[in-house]
Amino acid sequence: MKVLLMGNPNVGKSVIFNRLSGLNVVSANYAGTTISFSKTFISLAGNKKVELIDVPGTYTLKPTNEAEKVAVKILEEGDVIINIIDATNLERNLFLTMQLISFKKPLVIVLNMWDETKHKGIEINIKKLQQILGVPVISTCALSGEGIKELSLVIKNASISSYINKSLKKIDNLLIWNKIGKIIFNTQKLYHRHHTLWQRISDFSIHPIGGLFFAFFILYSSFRTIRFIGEGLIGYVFDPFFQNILTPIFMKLSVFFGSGGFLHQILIGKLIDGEIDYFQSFGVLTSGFYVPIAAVLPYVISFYFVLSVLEDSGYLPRLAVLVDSIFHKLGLHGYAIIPTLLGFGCNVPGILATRILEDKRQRFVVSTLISIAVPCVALQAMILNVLGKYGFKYVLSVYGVLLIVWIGIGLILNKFRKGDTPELFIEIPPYRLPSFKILFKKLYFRVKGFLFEALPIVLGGILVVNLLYSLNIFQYIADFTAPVIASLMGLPKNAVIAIIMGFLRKDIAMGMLLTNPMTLKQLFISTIVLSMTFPCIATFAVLWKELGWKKTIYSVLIMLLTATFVGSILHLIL
Amino acid sequence: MLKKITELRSKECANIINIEGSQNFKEKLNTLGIRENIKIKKMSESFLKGPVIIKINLMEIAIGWRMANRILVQTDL
Repeated sequence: MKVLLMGNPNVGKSVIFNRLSGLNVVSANYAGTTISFSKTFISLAGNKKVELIDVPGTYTLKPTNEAEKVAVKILEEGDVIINIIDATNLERNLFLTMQLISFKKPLVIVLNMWDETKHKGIEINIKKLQQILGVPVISTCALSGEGIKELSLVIKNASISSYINKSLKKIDNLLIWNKIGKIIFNTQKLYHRHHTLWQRISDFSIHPIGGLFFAFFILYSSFRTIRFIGEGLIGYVFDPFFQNILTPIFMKLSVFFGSGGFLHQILIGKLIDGEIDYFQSFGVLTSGFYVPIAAVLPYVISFYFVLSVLEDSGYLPRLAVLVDSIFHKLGLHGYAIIPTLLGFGCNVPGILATRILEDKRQRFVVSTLISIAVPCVALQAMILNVLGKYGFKYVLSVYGVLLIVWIGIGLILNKFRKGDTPELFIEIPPYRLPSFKILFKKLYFRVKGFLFEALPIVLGGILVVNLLYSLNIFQYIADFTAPVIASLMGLPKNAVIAIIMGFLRKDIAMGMLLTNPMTLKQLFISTIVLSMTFPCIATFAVLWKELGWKKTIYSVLIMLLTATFVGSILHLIL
Repeated sequence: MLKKITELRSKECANIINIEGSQNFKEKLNTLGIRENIKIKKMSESFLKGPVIIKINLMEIAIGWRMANRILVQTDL
């Protein structure tokens, strides 16, 4: 039996899915968090096994876009529909409910966010609503878990409503709104409530001028918090752990291997002045563990902590509104800021999130911009670690150059566009205080995801790099690309090896750059070229999957051209 | 007085009288509950022809400027 969770965007379907299944799909406070289906089997009362499907949110079943077409298709296969409703927006949510009723499938209605109705002065008569519609109606507060037990018990009572007896094609919107009007009149009472503090903050953060200050404040404090937590974790936890506990062990191992030789090279790497240098030694045990765990992981933790707070608070759609007119100059609308911000964590979810943009052209542009000019957290962590040593202004300059590239490519691609940019049309969710339990669970899964995906690739990558070094294959590649790398960009020709290794992972690549003696200028240019060229293999795969091979090739060509151009220009002017 | 949503002042309330555009356009607005004969409140002035934010019941919606320009409203006066 298939049980579908359906409802408008941002009503809490994914949180309910997680509650019912014990799984952890990502939820956040903006429309369109769920971009694909999650399925799982759960046991209901009486140990009955059912398949539970979290369907991406939709406002209507008369498909106006791809996502809605998919939702209708899934709906036809479903056996029971759980219609999740945002109780604070009953009227609008019932529009979808009426359409669902016309499909004549067993239905359960869940009034979620029940706790918020009280603060907002909304009173809903559940019994009466149940009577009118003829299907079970229950109230939940998914964030706290209230009502979830009841929901799992009531699924078996799902019934077909006879409130609307026409098929969807035969009913017009006016009829639906009239019916909804009657329901609302009979079941809902509104009481006037004074402006709450959240409402005041909300008004301020969408104000054209106040909002700009607010955005600077939020983004600046986010950045500071990310650095503060990241540097704190490195300085007080991870680095001391490596220096005080692991270094002595590795040094003993080094002596055991006779301070040199093939195995020493692979496991410990090169000793710098007789010591292990975790960034430059480049052994599997030394840099292989230090880079992902001590240099990158702390920033993964701090970045995703801050991002999760932003996601769950409801600020992101407001930021989208604020940047909309600027983004229009690039042929994008403001919602493109959300995939872009996610891209700063990892390009992969960033590019996947471009699905919230409705047209293909925008998706191509945003995906290309992310893969070229948005460095992932692993790369940023390495930039902070490596360039940060010379002064923070160099780190800022990298961001500055990437921003200029981002705007430049956006403007150029916009010249070639056909047709209009669709207008922004989104719901602004109310601000919510993030639930810390959900926040930390989300953080835990994201961090775990990083460790399980990154660590094996880093370790394997360093092993392969060391093997290839001993086979002299790199020398051949370096000589081949020397005209571009050495002459145009003024980099040591071996830097190309690091840049190519960026295809594997950007953090190892950044570590590899350091194994070449370089001036600060060369390090700066190669960092930028590394950020811009080849997305890592995971990003490449997702570009391919989302855009198709033609557009991926197109995107890679743009990437190579701009990287060469920017690298050469920087070499000329610095 | 008949106005476009874009011409409303911040915090001004009005009734939607007419939506100019194709059936598709109306359908799109309708999904978020924007339709003729309902009451809205403009929440914020738009900046550089950025989106207009309106409130319907307790829900705030951001609408691109050009879209908002095609929605005619009648103010309470």
